[in-house]
Amino acid sequence: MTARHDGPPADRATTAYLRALEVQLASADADLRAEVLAGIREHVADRLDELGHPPTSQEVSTILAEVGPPLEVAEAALGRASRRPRASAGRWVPLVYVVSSALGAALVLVVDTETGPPWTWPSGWALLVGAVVTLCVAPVWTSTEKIVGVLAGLGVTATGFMILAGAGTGAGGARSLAGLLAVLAALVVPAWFARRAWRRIPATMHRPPRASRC
Amino acid sequence: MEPGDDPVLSSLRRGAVEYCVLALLREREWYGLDIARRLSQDGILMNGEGTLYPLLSRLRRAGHVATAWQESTSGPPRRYYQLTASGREALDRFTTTWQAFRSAVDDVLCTQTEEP
Repeated sequence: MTARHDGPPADRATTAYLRALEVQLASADADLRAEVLAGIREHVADRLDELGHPPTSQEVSTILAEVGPPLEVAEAALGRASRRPRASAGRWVPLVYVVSSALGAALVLVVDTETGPPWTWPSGWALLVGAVVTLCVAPVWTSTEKIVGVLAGLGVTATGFMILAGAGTGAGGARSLAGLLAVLAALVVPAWFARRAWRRIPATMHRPPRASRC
Repeated sequence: MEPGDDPVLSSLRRGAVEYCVLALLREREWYGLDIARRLSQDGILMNGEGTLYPLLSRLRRAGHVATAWQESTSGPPRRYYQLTASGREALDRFTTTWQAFRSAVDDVLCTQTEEP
């Protein structure tokens, strides 16, 4: 946003608000989304500019509360009637995503298909597919994040298999170590995306307090 | 309950607030923050200030308002909204319809009050 009296508290809070709004507007036409985001950005910048001094966190919170919850703005943009946030926008979504990714990667990459239980391979892939579906469907990530997340997941999984192939199948210890490294790599990417979603969900799920106008 | 949380009010807003924006722009150009302040000052016409921007976007895409950047004495340039000929026609149609609609509603409400 335009830097005027916007100090770090304003930057952080406004950026978080705009990201939450962008997520809620994910299904909107690109032009509409850009126009609404630009309008809100200018509005907040004007409000901050009127203060005439670096804003306090409380002042920024008040301004954003008067702009209204991102969900409410998004509903106005998408023409939907007011409704409660979908349950899939809860904080359990990034948790499910990261746990499914890690567990799926562990089952697919660590357990040897020849010596391990027969259910591990299909279960692992089912969990990985579930993680991808969660990432693509849940309204807590932007379209860009969904695309990058899927591509990064594919890349990490492929890298994991290459590490395993390099470790060979004969040496059990080397294979296990390579598998653990691959799982660790498979955990970092989902954890990063889950953290982004986790941090923005409170702003999308809970209506900030607003001063009475009447 | 705040006025903004009333579902009846929410339904009424959806059909009327965009024309209130057009009515504001009838006499002069306004920029977003001023429109938001004017319409949300009593909590009746608009609840959160942010809901104005989707509405302005729809009006611009419908050709009812146009935008222009203007220099400001107190900061960077501002995006001003102005009524177009199409917007003025839409406002005139709404004004005529609204007056008839309001009279009809008032008649029914008053009749029910006086003759239960």
